[in-house]
Amino acid sequence: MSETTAVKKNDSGMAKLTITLFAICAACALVLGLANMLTGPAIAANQKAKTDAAMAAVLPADSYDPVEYTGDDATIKSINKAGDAGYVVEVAPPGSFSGTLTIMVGVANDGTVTGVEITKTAETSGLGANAGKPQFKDQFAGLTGTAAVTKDGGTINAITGATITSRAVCAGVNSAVAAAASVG
Amino acid sequence: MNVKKQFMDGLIHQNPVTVQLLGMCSVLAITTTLFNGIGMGLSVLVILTLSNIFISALRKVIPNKIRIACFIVVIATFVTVVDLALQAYLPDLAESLGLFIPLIVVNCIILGRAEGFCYKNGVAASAVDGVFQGLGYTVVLIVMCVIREFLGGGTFGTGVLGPDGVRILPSHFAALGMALPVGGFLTLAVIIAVMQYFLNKPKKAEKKEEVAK
Repeated sequence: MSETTAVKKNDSGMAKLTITLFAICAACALVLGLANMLTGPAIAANQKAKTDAAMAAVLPADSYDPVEYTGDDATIKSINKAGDAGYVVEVAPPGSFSGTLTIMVGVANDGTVTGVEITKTAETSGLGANAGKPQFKDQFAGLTGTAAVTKDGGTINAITGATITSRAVCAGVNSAVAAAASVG
Repeated sequence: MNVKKQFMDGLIHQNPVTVQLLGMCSVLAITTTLFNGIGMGLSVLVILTLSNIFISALRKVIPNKIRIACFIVVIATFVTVVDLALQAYLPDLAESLGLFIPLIVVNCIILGRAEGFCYKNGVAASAVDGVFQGLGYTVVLIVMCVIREFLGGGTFGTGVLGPDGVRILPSHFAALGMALPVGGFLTLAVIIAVMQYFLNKPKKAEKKEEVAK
């Protein structure tokens, strides 16, 4: 690709190879450590702010107390008791289109869904990522019984071009309701 | 060092995407909205320039036998630093690009330039190469984003001009397939074909003249 000639290098001994590679790795590790130190607090703060905002959006309450979940549904990430109003369940449903999808579901004491927020998504931008838009997620508020997309005989209108994501969110909501019932 | 030639190479004659056909995965996957395209393009530009500078600076120290291992360590370091910085200061973008930022490590553009250019050229030339190759990549990404977003969603500038962009076509005219992977392949193929047509045109004209004589 380039006209300039390669720098000629002699074959070096094993010791030199090892030392060079070690030195480069050590320097890189140092850089990474520094970067992590500098960005770590900001990243943690971002995540916490997001989780708090999601909890407040799905089920407003004065305080959120973590509740230990002992059931065997591995998709349940965390459960918080939202004052006397009910529970906020964070769930990572299987069957999302790409990566891990994590949603926050608010469940009232009587098992009614109060709201859904997407907290972590790697769904396709412009398609599955639209699960975070009000047109879709607001359908869950006030829902009782099992959530399912209209294609599967339910009441939730799937996101155009993202039925897989829509189904995953429905599955997550159902797990969350079941988990809230089991601890409540 | 020939800056003008490097500029033309990066953007046109040796464009990393349309001529060298490197880094296709990210090009096809993330070019659905303008925000993604600009973010990804600039991330690659920064990482490519930094890794070019360091690899070129270390080129006399790195033994030939272990050069690929050294390149990858250096590249992975910069990718991780950029990934962390995005997560900390531009969380929206980090979320939107998701896995594709960490995957820049294996983006062939960066290793390709390290091996093909920086290992043989000086620091300044490598830095310039990183900027222009990165620009070439960014320009193609932006063109693809604009085309796919317009045809696939009927909007322009999602994430840059407001969260939903500017609507140009009513949403029921949008061809959803263009936002799906198949649209990525189609758009890329058309861009490459158009570019090759214009790159080859002068040559053909010359040939015809010769034949006429």
